[in-house]
Amino acid sequence: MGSTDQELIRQCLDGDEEAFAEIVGRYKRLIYSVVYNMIGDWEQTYDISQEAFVRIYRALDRYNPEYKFSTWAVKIATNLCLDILRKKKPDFVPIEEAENVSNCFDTPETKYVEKERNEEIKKAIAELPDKYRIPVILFHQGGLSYEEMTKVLGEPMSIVKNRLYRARLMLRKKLMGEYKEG
Amino acid sequence: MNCEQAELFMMKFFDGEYNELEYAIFEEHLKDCEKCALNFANMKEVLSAVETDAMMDPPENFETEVMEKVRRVKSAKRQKPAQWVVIAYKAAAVVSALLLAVFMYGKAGSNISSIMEQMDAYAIPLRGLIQTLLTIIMTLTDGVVDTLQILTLVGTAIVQEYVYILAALILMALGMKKLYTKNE
Repeated sequence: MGSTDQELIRQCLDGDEEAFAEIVGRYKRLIYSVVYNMIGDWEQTYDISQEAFVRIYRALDRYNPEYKFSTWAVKIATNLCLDILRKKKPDFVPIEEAENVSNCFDTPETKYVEKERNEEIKKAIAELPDKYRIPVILFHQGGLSYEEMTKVLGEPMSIVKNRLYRARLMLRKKLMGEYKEG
Repeated sequence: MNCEQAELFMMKFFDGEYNELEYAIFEEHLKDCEKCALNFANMKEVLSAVETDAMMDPPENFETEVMEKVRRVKSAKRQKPAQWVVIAYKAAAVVSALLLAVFMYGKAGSNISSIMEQMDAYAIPLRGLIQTLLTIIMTLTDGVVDTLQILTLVGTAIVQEYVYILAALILMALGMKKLYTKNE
């Protein structure tokens, strides 16, 4: 079972919709995680992730095989999330210098026992304000480049970089871990 | 390299934008600076966790439900023929309807059975539907009402996407008209 993403997509476009099931299997974790980390609500994450895959499916004929499929898929999911966040908060700008520091997260549920450390990390991510959390997720989970992030977020690269760097420092600070700062 | 520069390098490192030389100098600094070494280790742990461990699994039925939705998209796509095909059929249907209306003006009260005989000769499928349709047409009285009703039929057919059938019927009716005229 070694079909590349591009091969599977070719099959989809030729009419084999079951090939898309394989794609869903490969990327459901990534898309689900990115959506959750942007939206912060479990119930909505389920619906929005499904919608993201439907949009990905509809847009398959526009996918350029020269680029990584995961990045392209994450961009579609991200745009969907940003649209939804904008509708919820009319003055929402993903990484602007906003007054309110709080975000929209509810408490993450644990469906099964996970390493405590993972829980700490997820909590630290969830606690980041939107403007710091979103760039971290897009870059480190979604695999988007700076270029792609500026397009998706609609902000200049200097700001995107600044937010991402700040976010990394904030996460490090929150999670001192076994390595204590001297 | 001092600590400030080391912090800056760390960022470039996690951006994936650094060269071997810079990295070597950075490593040298880490050997001598415990603080930076710890900071680096910490950040590595956190960001690698973001990339892998902080992922969430969707529920069991996620794939199944997505595929259900996807199949609905596909069947919706199948019902819509290509744009140009639709336009071509609509144009043909409208033109045929207008010509048929002209025909009706001239041939009001035509004999249904002779037309049926000609239909037999050409073994047209969908004969039942044609018969019904022609019966409706033939029993219409003269005048603008005929034309309007035919156009309404066409309009309804277009809306109901049976335009292919209707266009074929009307074209066949035209064909019959030619035959009928020849036979007289």
